[in-house]
Amino acid sequence: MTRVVRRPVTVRTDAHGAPVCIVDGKAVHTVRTVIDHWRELGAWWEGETEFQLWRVETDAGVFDLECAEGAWRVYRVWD
Amino acid sequence: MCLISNARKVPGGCTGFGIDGGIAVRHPFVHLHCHSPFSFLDGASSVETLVAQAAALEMPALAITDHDTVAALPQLHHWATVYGIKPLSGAEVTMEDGSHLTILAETRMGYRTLCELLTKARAGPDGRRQPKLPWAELWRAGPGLVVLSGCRRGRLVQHLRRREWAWAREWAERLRDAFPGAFYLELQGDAYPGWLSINAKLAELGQTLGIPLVATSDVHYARPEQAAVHDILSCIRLRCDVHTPHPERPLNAARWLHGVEEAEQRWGAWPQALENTARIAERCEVVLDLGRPQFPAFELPPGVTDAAAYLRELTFAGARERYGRLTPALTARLEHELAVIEALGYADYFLMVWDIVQFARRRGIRCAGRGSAADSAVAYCLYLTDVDAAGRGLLFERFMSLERAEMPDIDIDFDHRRRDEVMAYVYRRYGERHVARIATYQTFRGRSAVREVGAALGLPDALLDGLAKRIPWSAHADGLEELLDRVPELRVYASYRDRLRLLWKIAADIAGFPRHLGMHVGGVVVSRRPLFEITCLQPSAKGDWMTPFDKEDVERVGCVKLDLLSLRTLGAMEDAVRLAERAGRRLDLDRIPAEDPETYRMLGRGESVGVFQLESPAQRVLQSRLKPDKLEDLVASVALIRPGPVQGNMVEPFLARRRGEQPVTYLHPKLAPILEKTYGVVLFQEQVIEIATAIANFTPGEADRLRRVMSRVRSLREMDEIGREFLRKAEEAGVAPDVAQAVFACIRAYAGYGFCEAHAAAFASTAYKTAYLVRHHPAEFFAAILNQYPMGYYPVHVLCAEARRRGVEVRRLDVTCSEWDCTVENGAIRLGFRLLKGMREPVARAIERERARVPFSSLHDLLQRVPEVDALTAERLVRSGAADALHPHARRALLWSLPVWLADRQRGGITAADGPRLTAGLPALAEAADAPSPWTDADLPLNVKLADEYALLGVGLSGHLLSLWRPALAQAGCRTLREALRAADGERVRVAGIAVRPHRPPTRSGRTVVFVTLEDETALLDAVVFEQVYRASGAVLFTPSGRWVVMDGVIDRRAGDYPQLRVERVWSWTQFCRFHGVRVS
Repeated sequence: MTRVVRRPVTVRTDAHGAPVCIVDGKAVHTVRTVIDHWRELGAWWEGETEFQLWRVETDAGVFDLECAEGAWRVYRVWD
Repeated sequence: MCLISNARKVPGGCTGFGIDGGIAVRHPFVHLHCHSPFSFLDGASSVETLVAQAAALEMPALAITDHDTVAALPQLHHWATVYGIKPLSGAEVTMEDGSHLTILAETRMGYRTLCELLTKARAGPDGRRQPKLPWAELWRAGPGLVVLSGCRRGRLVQHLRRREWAWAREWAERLRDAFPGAFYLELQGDAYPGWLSINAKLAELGQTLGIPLVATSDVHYARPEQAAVHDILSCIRLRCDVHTPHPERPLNAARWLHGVEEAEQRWGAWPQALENTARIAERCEVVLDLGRPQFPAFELPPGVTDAAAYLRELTFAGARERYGRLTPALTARLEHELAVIEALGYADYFLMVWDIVQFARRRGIRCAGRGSAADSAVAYCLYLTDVDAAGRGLLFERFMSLERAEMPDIDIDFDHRRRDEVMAYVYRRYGERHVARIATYQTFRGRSAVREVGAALGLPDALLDGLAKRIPWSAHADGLEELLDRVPELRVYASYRDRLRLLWKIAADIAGFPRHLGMHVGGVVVSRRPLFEITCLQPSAKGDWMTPFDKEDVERVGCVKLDLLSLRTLGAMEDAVRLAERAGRRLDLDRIPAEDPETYRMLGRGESVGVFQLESPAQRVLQSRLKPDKLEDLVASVALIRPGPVQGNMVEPFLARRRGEQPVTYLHPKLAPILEKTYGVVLFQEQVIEIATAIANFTPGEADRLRRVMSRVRSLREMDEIGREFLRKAEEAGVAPDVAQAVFACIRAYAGYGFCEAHAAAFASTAYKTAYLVRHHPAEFFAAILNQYPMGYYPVHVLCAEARRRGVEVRRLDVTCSEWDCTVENGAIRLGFRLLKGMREPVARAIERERARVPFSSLHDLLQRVPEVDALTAERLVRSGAADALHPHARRALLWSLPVWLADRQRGGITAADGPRLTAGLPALAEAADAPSPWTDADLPLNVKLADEYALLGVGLSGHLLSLWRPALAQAGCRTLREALRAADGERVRVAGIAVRPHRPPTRSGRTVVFVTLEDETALLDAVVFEQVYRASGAVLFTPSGRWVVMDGVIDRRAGDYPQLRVERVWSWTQFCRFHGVRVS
């Protein structure tokens, strides 16, 4: 089961831009593994730019993170 | 070329991959999987853009691998030569299970194998639309191929995605064993979900099985910003819009033609995969030779060993037939032409065309050469053309020259109904492995781009439909936005400007991309080598096998291209001869009077509807002003009414000099013999070449280059360069600088409107023959034109109106006597079943057969005896009036009776004995047309009958639609067109009519002028709408409301006998009727 949340978060990244730590309010989740990483085009006809998605395993579970123009959001949370 | 050595060391590598002693080693990288627009709606950058991008990124090579075709390869080779990179040939092949496999040609033999595989993929059921290659064919393929495991739709990746490890392993082993040392696992850098794990699995598989890896990006466009265009093209292909999620739409913008740095980011963990791209590029040969002729050798008769000698023999034999005796000048000309032909190695080509024409002549298939081939006296002597090039003094160098050394183009028109016999002969003569038809590509243009891109963007259908209908037919997809300001009928869409901005942009991006593949009407390629060494083949809709190369690309790869065209006019001429002979009159078009005064007088009155090339309104005006009296006038006419001469303001000077109103002067005495026949006006391309030769001592090749630069107006720099050369050489030749400059200015003004005199002469010869037929055999010729319809400029109702104007009765379609074709009955035209909408020839033939056995006694009788006539055909026969002879004034009654009769027939319960009962009360064949009928309102009202006749036959036989409105129109001040034609010069008139073929040709001033022909129940009248009126009220002519119009204007008789209406206001029909309270009678 997953929940789509689309909540803004702060993400720290490594030199290649991969997330290493998620700061969600007062909670801080360390990324253990990057499970997958892909890119999506978005609604370009409405002016959206391409964004990147990262599926990461953290100490708190699996998250899908979305990064568009430097802004990060938790897109989905896996139960 | 060693590509591996191109690995470069660059300071400061940013990715951390491939670090070597502090300096990052850039791995070599070549794109081996790349789609061009020839992947049809799956490639968003032109071949040139892709090659340019690869060259800009300093890549040594680029492969194009379109879906199931090698169509882009000639262009790839061409642009690769231009940009200095190595072209790699391949294709992404769709296998029988729908999976994809990337195949590259390593050797020429491999390329041949690839072409054979692609052709076999098209040989299956529905192979034209959905090619599928059986795996068995791939296993049988020989060496010379490099096989990559494919994209996400590759079978291997599909197994991996489904976690079918064992199957994946088995499949990889099978491919490895089938292509030892030439099979690679394709790691894709598409940044789709799961790509990292798929690549890891592929790498693991490669390590386990000893299969090398290769990196590809499945490129679909040159730069990331073109991903949107790819998405739109995908939506068009998938018939969805951008708001519809679809698994085959691109997920991201990763499939671009990136450079090494990006490649290292994507596949840095697998450097071997990067290096292998260059290794593969190195091992693959360049498999296509551009420009190397592949002419087949003509099979000479026994005992003859030299093609050139045989051509000489045939030429002089033909010359003796054509001319009777050979003058020294003629002999010298023929010798010169033959020497050029022989030196360039085209003797076999001429013999080939001669052989085909001989076949047609033996079979009585009417044919005529056109184009620049008519500049050749040899072509005339071989009967390839009917233009006496030597007699007319035409310039052979316009056709071919030693310096230009380009392949000549001999285009031959054949009677379109028998052209396939000629095609079949070519296949028989040269073998099916050496002959194929040529493809042609319909590209995105203004209207199609608006409809398709707009639909993909999810714009409303009504908006797109209205917009597309108003966009000029000739509009280019990359010039749409400016049309909003320029075209008045688009004004209503100005408020949508912002909403449409994206549409304009994407339409511009895809302008010129191939949209549909079709078969060229007459192009045939003949090759010395088996065609598979050059191209794959695919079936056309008609079932002929064709190369996916178009005419230019066929030339690029050095194949002989023949244009065996079909010309409906030749069919019409042949039909007219046949109809005349059927009426007992012998007519030989090769022996009609050469200069028939009555024919020229008719043309001089502007009465040329139906005459080949001379029937448009502009031509009719020209004829009435020119008053032609010899073939030369027609040759000039064909050349004059073209965009160039009109824009170049050549028409008025020519007419003034031709009529003796202006003196004929020449800038230099040497120009007199060249320009004499066109009264000192430069009209033909041949004249430019001759002027350059006479004034500046240009060699024929230099002169032809001048002609090309000028006629194409492509580069001002090139024009200036050649201008300086002209002036320098002219001065050297002793021509005064001011005169040389004036001469160059004169021929420079000619730029952009070149027309070949030989082509004009060939067309003029056909035009004269059709004019003769119109003048002396109007019934036969107009019946013949109707049989060839659609042909020519005018719709059926105008052709019938013109025939009637010439005193030829047009009789309605009639099930009791009409045939499939239109025929001539005692000087009247009887319409044929072919004109009835939706009618099929076998049904018409069945009616004819059954009627010949026993005449029909009623429509019920016909339905009973001709089961091929179905419900829809029966209804159309009734509505068109074809059953009127059996049941006069009973169309309504018949329509009510049809369902009952057809239901009975279907039940098999209808017999001849039922006939009288079922048709009781209907007016019968024997009854007088006006006999009282027991039916009340048995017939349909006249307006309904006319509307039906126009809709089903294209012409009203029960009258004219305008006549219904005539009393009300007269009250509103409208004159008939016949009255308007009699009005004095300058007289103001108001007329109503059906608007025929409104069009906006280019003008010298660049302003819009609309030409349109009006038709009513009395006559035709040509009208001219100038820019101001067009903007104020004339735009309606290009909208659905502009079919019927009322025009206020002034009669202009400046064109002599032939009046035109200079329009001051255009009313749409509804607008006029509402304003003036006009109602139908």
